[in-house]
Amino acid sequence: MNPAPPVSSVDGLSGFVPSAAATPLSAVIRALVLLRLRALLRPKLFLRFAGIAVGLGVVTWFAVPPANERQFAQWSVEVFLLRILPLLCLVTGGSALRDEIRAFTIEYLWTRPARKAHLVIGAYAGALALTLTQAVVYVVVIHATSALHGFAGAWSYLPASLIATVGGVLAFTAIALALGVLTGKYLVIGVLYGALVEIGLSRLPTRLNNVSVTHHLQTLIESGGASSEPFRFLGLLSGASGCLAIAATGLTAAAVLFTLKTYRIGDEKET
Amino acid sequence: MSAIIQASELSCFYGVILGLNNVSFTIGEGITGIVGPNGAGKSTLIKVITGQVRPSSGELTVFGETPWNNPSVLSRIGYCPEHEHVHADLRPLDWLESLALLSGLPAGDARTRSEQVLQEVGLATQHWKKRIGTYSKGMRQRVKLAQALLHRPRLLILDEPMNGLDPMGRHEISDILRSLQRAGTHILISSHILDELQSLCGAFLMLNWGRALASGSQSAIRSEIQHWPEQVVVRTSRPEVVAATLGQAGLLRGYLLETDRVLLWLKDPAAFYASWTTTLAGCDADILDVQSKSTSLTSVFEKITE
Repeated sequence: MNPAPPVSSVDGLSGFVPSAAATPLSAVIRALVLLRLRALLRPKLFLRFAGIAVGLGVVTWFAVPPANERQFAQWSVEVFLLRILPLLCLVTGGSALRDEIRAFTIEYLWTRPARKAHLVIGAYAGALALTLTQAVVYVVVIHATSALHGFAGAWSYLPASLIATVGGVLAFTAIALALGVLTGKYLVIGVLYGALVEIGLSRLPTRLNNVSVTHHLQTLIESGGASSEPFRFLGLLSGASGCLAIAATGLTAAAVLFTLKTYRIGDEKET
Repeated sequence: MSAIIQASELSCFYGVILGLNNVSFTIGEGITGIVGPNGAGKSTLIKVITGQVRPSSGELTVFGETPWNNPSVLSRIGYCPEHEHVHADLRPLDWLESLALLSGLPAGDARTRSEQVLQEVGLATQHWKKRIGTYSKGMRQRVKLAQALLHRPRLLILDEPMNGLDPMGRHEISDILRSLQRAGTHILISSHILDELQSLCGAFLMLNWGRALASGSQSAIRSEIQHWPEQVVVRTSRPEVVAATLGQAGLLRGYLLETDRVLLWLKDPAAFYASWTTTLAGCDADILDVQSKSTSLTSVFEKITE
């Protein structure tokens, strides 16, 4: 019979006394961001990430004629910022907690002494870190390719594009996270949401378009091109606060849903 | 003995699917086994205890508090689920470090403690650099157990922890659990390998169809069961003679003859044990072995679920 390990080895955690209090939010964020980024460091995922960046560069080279400002704007804003970026956020944000639920690994997270709302914020931070890293690289690739291809003005659009990208990632990821927490069919619901709100409502010339992220991203981009400084500042303020408000709403909805819902992991039956 | 877990008229339904039905019990200190066939409600009960599922009605408390959305309870619980799903893309130390942070360990201690628990569960250091997805079932079980021990829980909950382990691995895990118990950790363990529970656990909770059939020590459960038909196996050269002799003495409810043994269902266990030596001494057969079959946990459970 094997001897039992000494008791001291089981009980030998120096300096740590289990606390009855919930794990601090900062520790939850750190834990989940680490978890997410370490998953990204897999060679397969890194290759996919690099492949998309190269693909975007190639498409930019061939799809945008040199020195064609209108086509550059159409490609970098209309296609990348308003179509590709939301899909990227939908996949990453929606899967942040839903993949854990599907894969049963959520049990290792929510049986820890962390508040469920904090887990949502941590998962959001992890998804943000992942999506922002990718999105910023993609935006730089698009602008650098255009500049190399003969459109020298591409670099002047980069700051506004980056600001809009950050705003878009913040808002779209929060919405995607809430959809992922709500249902396993978050991709379908996300595409429907995109068609109804981001494409439909954003085009309505009423204040109703404030609920769409697209409207605020357009404001951010337009403020980058504004000639007068007050208009530039007001545009930035309006667009950024719109994106932040939508992000906060999405995150709150996700936190409330995740705290109140009972999940039967694995089989997707929920109450 | 103070109560660690108390359930009072606890019910848990998933829509129309029954999980637990009006269950009341108390689980005390030490190692307690949850026994029941598939669908008995074991996993549902564990999910309620670990705060993953909110009861539909009734109440369950762990350390005197309800576990649902309660970090105070969860900080004292370590949970090792039944399924094998883990973050397959990660290396064990990376995964454990994140979970240690989530458990409230200081950032400086998280990595050290992760190494410590991997050593405690006997995962050899040469495997630490591999991704968990490449591990055997037994190695995954060890990593799963390690994550449950990270924050030094007072109550360790293990759902089928012996699954996938070879006999040596089961023995080692049993030793670790006994060691934890000696260190003051209370353990709740569900397993369908009843013989192992029998050697580990001081008390049991028996579930079937979402109901608690019995709880307490094995002998206490046995004594609760009325009309207990004790089963005894007698290995003998002439089974039919033994059966006939005991039958004529009025001690049997029935018997089953085999080539070299007879399985006896006793009418009155107390009367049998008071007289069997003299009764059998008078019969014309060699008695090679007399063994009580129904003292095992398996037979207690079989009886209780009849």
